[in-house]
Order: sequence, then structure tokens, then C-alpha cells
Amino acid sequence: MNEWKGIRKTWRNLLRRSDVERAVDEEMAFHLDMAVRQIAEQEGVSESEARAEAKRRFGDRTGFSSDCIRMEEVERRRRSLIDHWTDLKMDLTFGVRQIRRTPGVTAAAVLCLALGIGATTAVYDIAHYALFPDTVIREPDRVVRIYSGIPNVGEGLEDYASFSWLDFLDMDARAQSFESLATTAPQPFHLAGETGAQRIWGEIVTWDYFSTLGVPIIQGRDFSADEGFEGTGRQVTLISERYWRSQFGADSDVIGSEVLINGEPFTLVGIVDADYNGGMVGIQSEIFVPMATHAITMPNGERQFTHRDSHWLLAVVGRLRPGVSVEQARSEVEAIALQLQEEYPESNEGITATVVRERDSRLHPLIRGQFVMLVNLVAVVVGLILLLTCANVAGLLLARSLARRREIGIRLSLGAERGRVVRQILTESIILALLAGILGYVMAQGTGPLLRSIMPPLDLPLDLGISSSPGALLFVFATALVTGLLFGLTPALEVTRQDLVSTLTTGRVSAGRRSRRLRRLMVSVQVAVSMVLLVLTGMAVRSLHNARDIDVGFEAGDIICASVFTDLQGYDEDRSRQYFVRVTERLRTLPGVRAVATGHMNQLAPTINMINVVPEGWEDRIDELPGCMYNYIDEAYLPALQIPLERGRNFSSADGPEAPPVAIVNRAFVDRFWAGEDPIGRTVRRHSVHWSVIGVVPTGKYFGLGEEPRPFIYIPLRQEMQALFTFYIDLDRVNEAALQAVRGVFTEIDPAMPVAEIIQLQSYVDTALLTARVIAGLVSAFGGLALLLAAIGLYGLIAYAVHQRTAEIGIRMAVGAGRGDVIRLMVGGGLRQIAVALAVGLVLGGFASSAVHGLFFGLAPIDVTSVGTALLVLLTTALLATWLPARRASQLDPVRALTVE
Amino acid sequence: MGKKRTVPAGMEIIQGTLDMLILKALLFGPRHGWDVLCWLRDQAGGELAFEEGAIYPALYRLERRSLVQSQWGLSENNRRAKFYQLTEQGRGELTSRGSEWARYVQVVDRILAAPTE
Repeated sequence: MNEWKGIRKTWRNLLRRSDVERAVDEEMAFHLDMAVRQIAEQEGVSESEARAEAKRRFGDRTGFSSDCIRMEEVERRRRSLIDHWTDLKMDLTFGVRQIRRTPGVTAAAVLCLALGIGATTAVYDIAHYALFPDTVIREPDRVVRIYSGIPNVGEGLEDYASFSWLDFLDMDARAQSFESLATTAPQPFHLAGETGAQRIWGEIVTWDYFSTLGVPIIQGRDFSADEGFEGTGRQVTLISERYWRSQFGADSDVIGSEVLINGEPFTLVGIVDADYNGGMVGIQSEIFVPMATHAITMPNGERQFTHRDSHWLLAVVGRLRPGVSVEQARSEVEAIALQLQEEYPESNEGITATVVRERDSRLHPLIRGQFVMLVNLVAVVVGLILLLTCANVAGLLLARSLARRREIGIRLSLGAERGRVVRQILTESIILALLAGILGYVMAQGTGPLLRSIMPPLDLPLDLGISSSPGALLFVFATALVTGLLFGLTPALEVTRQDLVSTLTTGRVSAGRRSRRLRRLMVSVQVAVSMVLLVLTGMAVRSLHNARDIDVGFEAGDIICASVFTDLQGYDEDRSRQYFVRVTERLRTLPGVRAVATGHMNQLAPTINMINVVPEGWEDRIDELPGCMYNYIDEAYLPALQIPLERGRNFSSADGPEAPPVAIVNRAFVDRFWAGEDPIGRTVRRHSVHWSVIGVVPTGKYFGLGEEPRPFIYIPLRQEMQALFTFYIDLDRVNEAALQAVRGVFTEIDPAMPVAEIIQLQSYVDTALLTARVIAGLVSAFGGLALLLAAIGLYGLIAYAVHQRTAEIGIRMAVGAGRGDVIRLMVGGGLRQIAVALAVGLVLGGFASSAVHGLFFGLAPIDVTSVGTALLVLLTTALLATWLPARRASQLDPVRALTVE
Repeated sequence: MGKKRTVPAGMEIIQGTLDMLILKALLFGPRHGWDVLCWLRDQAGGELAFEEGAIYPALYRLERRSLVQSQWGLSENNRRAKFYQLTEQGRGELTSRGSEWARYVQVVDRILAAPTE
């Protein structure tokens, strides 16, 4: 509309000159004609004589008219400028006045829109953060990652598994497509500072890792070639900019100074740019050391450098030579993997390799696929919500502007341009949308902290550093503007599209059929979508409830966990054993401690650690064996976590290094490998060790609550001493004094040994519940929002219908209809309007339920409870929304109802 | 304002007074240019001489100063004509200019009537 008006105006500007000239000419011609007639009449001369006389009396016509034209042109130019400005000012004041006159509607509209826009922005932020992180990488198009493909590794990691060190060395030596290849692995370190040692996470990297990636070293220098694997073994380290700022106050003098890593002196040579966010999104790396220092920085890690079958967490990156395509590199890497298969058939059978662009792999390709799906799903839901919001707000505004129909009709008949009126209504909606945009942006800012706050503390440096980029701000305002136009245009066009004559002559405020249909359609869509979202809400809430009831296979109770890496502190196996024994004994003497147990890893952890084991009877089917999750535990572990024994016996302190090797497996292990047979006394082989199964425990949850029964094996810690201990301390009551006492024990036994933050075992369970909680929270928020929107829409629709039928109601009441009849009539009418929408919503809800029930815990494909509840809630809301205006209708005084208008 | 040619018989109009006279002509309601002229001529009884066309630049000037406003309409004989109407501002201007003029005339009279020595 507005554009057309603008274009027309421009044309008029071009044509104006002749326009003005013509007007001045006409005015003067009229004067002359009148003069001619008068002169001819009064003096009785011929017309041509009279005309000559009139011209003489008029004077210099050309001069006068050019004066007039000049003045008129200046005037018009001035006026059109003023017009623009006053138009805008008027539109703004008018808009603001309209908005202030109906604060309820405004608040509802702004809040709805803000929620919609806020949700959209949050999704944008998260997607932007995870999928398109800002990168400091130089020429990112040339950087790739190489994964190895390992059949049967499980967890879907087959195509994107990590490398073994020896395979990496061969790949590096043979591949010609790359300028350089480098590799890195996450690693914990003990870093001694003034306040004692700290455990921090970092990476162990090849010397050319940062130069291969093209990440800048902002202070000092990068590692050099003689600090490579075959080099001098010089003990040097880089730290992250973030750590440099937080721990060293960004002091440049620290470069060249010595820090103690795992008790050994390392020279700090440089600072890595803050925007390097680690090999993986979400993990913060604070410190980097060269692979050559692995004897100190990866104690007990020798095997990983000498055995080709040891695939540890090595991530390989490569920088392509100029002009080499990713496809070329990929086929070369695939060919080299085949060569390695032939050369090392024992370790490399079936092992392949592939190349992926770095920018496509900030999220592990495995997660990325799911994440993109999730983001898409959420984006669709949020987009729908935003659309619904628009529809609803459009409905609200339409209802309000219909009330102004008469006024607008009058203005149109008085010659107001339609475009002008449309623009006025649009201004109002854009003001609303911008207000909502600001509010929504503020809301979206809360997303990061919100996500952090629902995230229980973990012994992993996860960083959800979601922050709003300038892009997001732009996105918000674009969204707000588009939304404003979207929900403003319909009512604006609808209201101005009226039959002037009928509006004015009948005085009846009658909405066109079109707009009535439009509103009913909007409300129907809202009701149907609300139905779907309510069903999902019900399912999410019930799923969360079910998830809380899921038997994880152990009791977290009041158990707290504290973990230490003894090898990082330079302990050998004997010292580790003594440490474990002394800590356990000392902790047991503390008051209020019910039990102390020790394990290697957490029972329910956000990481998957697997070993390859061969159960008896499967020796010739090794290819089919999946990796098996495991834990090393002491004899107190199962009782402390209240994991019962189905069969056989628990470990005992007698199951030491000299005793025959034993193991306990879970029910899933037995069912998977020895279905229907007696597992007790059977053996499981790993490398050269044969464990004899002495007990069976029920299957619990080990990685996620939604997982299928997973085979699991427990091995006695006393038989295979580890260097990572997690102590489980069952307390009478968890309070600061108890935690203090526990910390005191660790300090007493080795003051230099860093202990990770003490965490309640329950928080691991909470973490596992996180997904369910987030989904439940999000979906219920959206469901509630949709319900609210639908209720407002419905209320508006019925209230409007009542207004329309005031006279009819009056007649009905005049001829004897009671109040009940009126209420029944209006409520019935209202419900009839949404009956179809409810039916459609019911069907869609059923579909939605069966489509996503896999995401939820313990729910049938069509969750009748949720569908039923949704229907009930929606019906109740609808009844309430229709009953309120209906009741008002029934209280009308028949006489006044008839004379209204 | 155009070159002077033949001026009709009568007194030449004093610079600046035409605006005031036009405002006065409009005091009794909207008029088109020709009507304004006729009224002025009738009132002056042929004693004022000016080129008739001069009222148009004057009217445009008054409009620019927002003392009058114009609108196209129909004349008595059903022709399109531009009608001018006094604005509130124009009314005020006429009052103040009128009394100013009266004082001016008094002062001029007094000077002219002063005895010469």
C-alpha cells in the first residue's frame, strides 16, 4: 500500500510544475472571462473589444502568473515536507494513543509476541553458537578433520571414531594432500599454583597443531619443530587466553616463567587466542603440552604410543595443500587406510578413514546430525508458535479495529486515503512489534544463564557460552518488523476494505464475511495447534515423571563423590594402592560417614568408556562383539550404591593381585552372550587376562536413562589397580562441616594432590534427567503459551459474536427467552465454531504423539492420558472463554439491547 | 511585480496596503479573485487604481503566510473557481494591521496639518 502511495507521490512531484501552471492559468482565465462579460454588458462593446479592455485592466499576466507559480511551488514543496513529518508524527501519536487506550490488549499482544520472538532468538543463538561458531582459524576452507572408521565399535561411532597414534604417524608420513597433519587429545593436568595444585583440562598436541589449524598465538611463541615427538623432549607449555587472564591477570611477564605440571617444571612459552574453543564445542581447554612430554603429562599412557589397536581420543586435523580438494584428500586417506589394513591385518582389519571439513565438524559429526535435526524441529515448533502469535495478535487487533470500523468509515468517506489509514494501523502494529522485540531480546538473553542453571555441576569443563551476537540483534529486529507487518496488514486491509455506503447508511458495524471467516480460521488453527502442543506437554511432563521413576539400578542417596588422578601426581602403582587404602580407611573413621566405596569411573556418567572383551564361547565371533562398558570397583562399592546381587557373590578384599582374576557382570551381559545358561564360573578374556564370573547384578543405567539394556562388567580394583579413583562417601547428612572433614582427609594424606570438586552422586542422575527436564520445560512453556493464545483468541471471537448479535439477543429476551437460554445459545455457538478444530487437533495430537513418543520415557505410542487431558483442558478453557461473554449477553436489558446502535 | 504599463485613472495604491484590503474583502466570507476585485472596486468607487492581476500574487503571498486558505469550488455561473477564505490568523492580522494603519494615517495627517513657519 505504502509503496504505491510513495511511487504515486514521486510521479506527482515530477508532474507538479505543469499542475501548478495549469491551476494558476485557470484562475486567471476565469477572472478575465468574468471581466470580459461585465465590460461587454456595461459598456455595450463587442466581445473582442471587451477582451482587449479586460486584458489591459488585468495588467502583466505573464509576470503575475510567474510570481504566483513560483510562490505556489515553494509552498507545495514546504507543505509536502511538513506533510511527511506531520503524517509520521500523527501516526506515531495515534498509534501510541491507541496502544495506551487498551492496555490489556496491548500487554497481551506484546507479551505473546515477546515470547514468540524471544524463543525464536534463543533458537537462533543456540544454532549459531553450535553450528557456525566464529572461528579464528586462518583459511578455514583448507582445514579438515580425519576420522577413522571402526566396525562394531558401537554407539554409532563406526564412521567417526578416533585414531591410534601409530596409524596417525603412518597417515602423516604417507598422505601428500596435506601441508601438515596434526593431532590432539583432551587430557587432565595437575597444575601447581600458589594455593596448591589444581586439576584443569587441556590438550596434549603435536607440535604443529596450532600452525596446522591456523590458530594465532597472541603472546610469546608456538611450539617449535624440535619440541616434536622425536625432538628434545623440552618441557614447554601454552595456555589459553582465558586462563591467562583469570589466573595470571593477563600479565605478559609470565611468558618464559616456569609452571609445575604434574609436579614437573614446564616453561610457559605462549598464549593461545581466546577464540580457540577446543577440538569440540563445549569443552574448554586451558593448557596445551606437546606429545613429546607424554611420559609426564600422560602417565601410564605408554601403551597408547606403542600399540596400533589403541584408539584413544586422538582427533586428527589437516591443512590441505593449496588447490587440493576435500574429495581428493578423502580418496587418498581412504587408500592409505586400505594399505594399513593389508600391512597390519591383526590390528587394522576393517579400519577405514575419512575426511570431513573442519567447519562441518565443530560438533562431532555424529551429534551434529542429531543436533541439526533437533534444532530444525525446535525451529519449526518455535516458528509455528511465532506464526500463531501473529495470527492471534492479528485477531486481537482486528477485533479492536472492527470496533473502530465506523470511525474509519467516516474518515474514508471524508476523503482519507485508504493507504493513509492502512499506514496508520500498520504503524501501531509495528510499534507493538518493536516493543515486543525489545522484550523478547531481553528474554533471550536469559537463555544462556537459564541453561547453565538447569545444568547440574559436573566434573567436566562444559561451557555453554551462548551469547547474543550482533547477528541476533539484527535477527530480532527483522523478525519484529516482519511480524509487525504480518499481523498488522490483515486487520488494516480488512478494516479499510469496507463498503462505505452501507457502513454509513445503516450505521451497523458489520464485519465483512471475509474477515469473520478469517478470524474463525485463525482461532481454529490456534485451537488445533494448541491441542497438539498440549498433548506434547502432557507427554513431556509425564515422561519427566516417568524418568524420575526409572530404576537407574543404584541408590544415589546422600552419597558424595570425590575423584583424584594419582598418576598425574607421579604415583606408581604401589603408591596408588597405598593411597587408595589409606584414604578409604581414614574416611571411614570420620563421624557421620556410613560407608566409603571406591570405583574407577562414575556409575552413570556423561561419557562412554569401553573395552573389548571376549566372553567364553564367542572366540570365533570376535567381529560381532561390541565394545563393553566397565568399571573397576572395590568390595564396598555394590553395597554402598545398593546394587543387589542376583546370583553369586560380591568381590572381597581377598580378591587381590595374587588371587585368581574374577569379574561380576550384569543381567544384560548374560542375556546377550550366554542366554539361558549359567554364567557363574564362565570366563571373559581381555588381552591375556581371563576373568572368571563370580556374580550377576541386575541391569542398571550406565550412560543415559533412555538406553537399551547394556552389557556391563565390573572388575576388582584391587586386582587391576588404577590411577583414577572416585571415592563414594555415604554421609548421614550432607552439610558444609561434613564436606570440610572429607576435604581435610585428602589434604592430610597428600596436601599436594588436587581433588576435583566434590559432587553429589544424585547430580549425575539429575544430569541424565537433564534432557527430559529441558524437553518438559520447553514443551510445557510452549503448550501453556499456546493454550493462553487460544483462550484469548476464543474469548475475542465469542465476545465479538455477542456484540454482533446484541439486537437479536434483545429480541429473543423480549419474546421470553431466559438467561440460561441465552448463555446456552452463545456457548453452544462458540463450541460449534471450534468443534472441527478440536477434532482436527485430536487427530494431529494422536499423530504427534506416535511420532515423537521415542523421545519420551515409558509412554505408549498414543498416550491416551495426555490426549485426554489435553482435550479436557482445551474444552474447559473454551467453555470459560465463551461463558464469560455469554453471561454478559444474558445480562443485557432487552429494551436497551434493541435500541442500541 | 511586473512592469507597469497603463494604469487606470485614479489614485495609485500605496505599496503594502493591497494585502490589507484583500484581507478586508474576505472578512465577509469566502470569495474568488474576481469577486475580491469587484468588492474592492465597488468600495473604492473608482478612486483606487491598480492592475487587477496584482491581486493574484497578493493572494498567493497571503496564502503562503497562512493568512488565507484556498479551495477550488463552483462560481455563481457554475464555473470552477478558486475560493479564498480568511484564516483565524488572517483575521488577527487584519485587526492589528487595521489599527496600525489608522494610527499611521493620524500621524501623517498631524504632520501634514502642522503649521508651517
